[in-house]
Amino acid sequence: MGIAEIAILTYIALFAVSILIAVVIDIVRKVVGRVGR
Amino acid sequence: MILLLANLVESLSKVVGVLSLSPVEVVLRVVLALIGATLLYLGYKNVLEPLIMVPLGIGMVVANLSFVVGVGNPHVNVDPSSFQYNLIYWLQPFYSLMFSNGLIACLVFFGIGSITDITFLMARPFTSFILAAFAELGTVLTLPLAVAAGFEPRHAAAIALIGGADGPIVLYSSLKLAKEYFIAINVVGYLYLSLLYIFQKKLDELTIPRRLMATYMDPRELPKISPKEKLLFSVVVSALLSLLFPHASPLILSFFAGVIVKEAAISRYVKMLDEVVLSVSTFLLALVLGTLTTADVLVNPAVGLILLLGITALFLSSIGGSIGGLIVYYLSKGRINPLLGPAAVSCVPTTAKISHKLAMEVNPKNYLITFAMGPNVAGVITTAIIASVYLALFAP
Repeated sequence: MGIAEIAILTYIALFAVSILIAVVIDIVRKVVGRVGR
Repeated sequence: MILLLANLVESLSKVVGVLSLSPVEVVLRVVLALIGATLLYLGYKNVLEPLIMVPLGIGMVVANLSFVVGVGNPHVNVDPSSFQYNLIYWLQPFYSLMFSNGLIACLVFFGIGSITDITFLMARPFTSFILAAFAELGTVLTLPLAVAAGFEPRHAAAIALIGGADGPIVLYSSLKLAKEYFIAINVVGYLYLSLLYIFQKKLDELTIPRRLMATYMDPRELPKISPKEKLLFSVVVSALLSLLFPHASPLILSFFAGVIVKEAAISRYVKMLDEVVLSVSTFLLALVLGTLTTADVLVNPAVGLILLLGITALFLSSIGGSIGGLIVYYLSKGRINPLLGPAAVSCVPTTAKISHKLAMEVNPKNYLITFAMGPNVAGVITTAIIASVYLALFAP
């Protein structure tokens, strides 16, 4: 794989991981909300 | 008479070591000392970041003028391989035990974590992380550019990380990826990060229409995030990120340990991390970096290219942030201020403050800092992710 392909794939993967972390944060907030109640 | 003069110069050069160097190196050392003095002055005048530039500047001035025959730089030796150096150079223990393993970057991260508010990051996680991903454009695009410029991929990766605009991550990664260029990369990186205040504001004004900067965001619309939620988030996300990106785990652990201490309200630790650890590590980082920035180490044709690629990386990241900001503005139907985009360039909290100031200039009611800190902190995490990928792919 060339360096340009690595760069593009890294950028795409970064968006995917960013969404994953955002989903995790959402779940954490819901879980804590439920435990809090 | 001439013989007497030659003997005098020879004897004198044993005392004033710089006289034993070639005229070219003497001139270069004087030039670097003058550059150090200028950085010190600009730090003193608050044009550049004083916490970095004042100790770095005085380190550069003194280290370039002090040369001991047979020893070289009397402060620190760039090669940490010999234990004997710790007994010769007074700053060597800090370099050997704190720089070569990346500890200094982690200490700075402890402190940054302890003063970072993650409220907006948790209140608007999708917005924060998407903007942060956009603002990594320079970190990604500079990699092939630096390879095209002739650097090895691992060196190119360390240079590209300047685009992440996060000093400790640049330091940590360059120590592992590009030891040969780590001084140049970090001096260039910290210099540009200090200059962000000036050029990022101009870039924001050029890329984001003024009427959009006026977009009002009401802090009362933010949901309340309890310390318990922040604590649990920090534990879960640091564990998840360490699992997925183990190469950046030391940085992730130190940052979130700071956040956790803050949210757990352990005031003694917060005070220790903020006032002692962050201050001491920032001071030592700048001073050691300054004393390492001598003519013999820095004068290299590659330094000019690093200067050029470093500014390109930061420029592209700022543009990426602005593009992200505009996309999120239109997707949210004008509810999210596009200035949150450039705030995702993760120089905590500088870029968030720039966006806040610009928003206030256009609309004095617009108190954007709380919102801007979300993408700003998310930017630290996305830069750590890219650093981990680069370390996994390119570290020797």
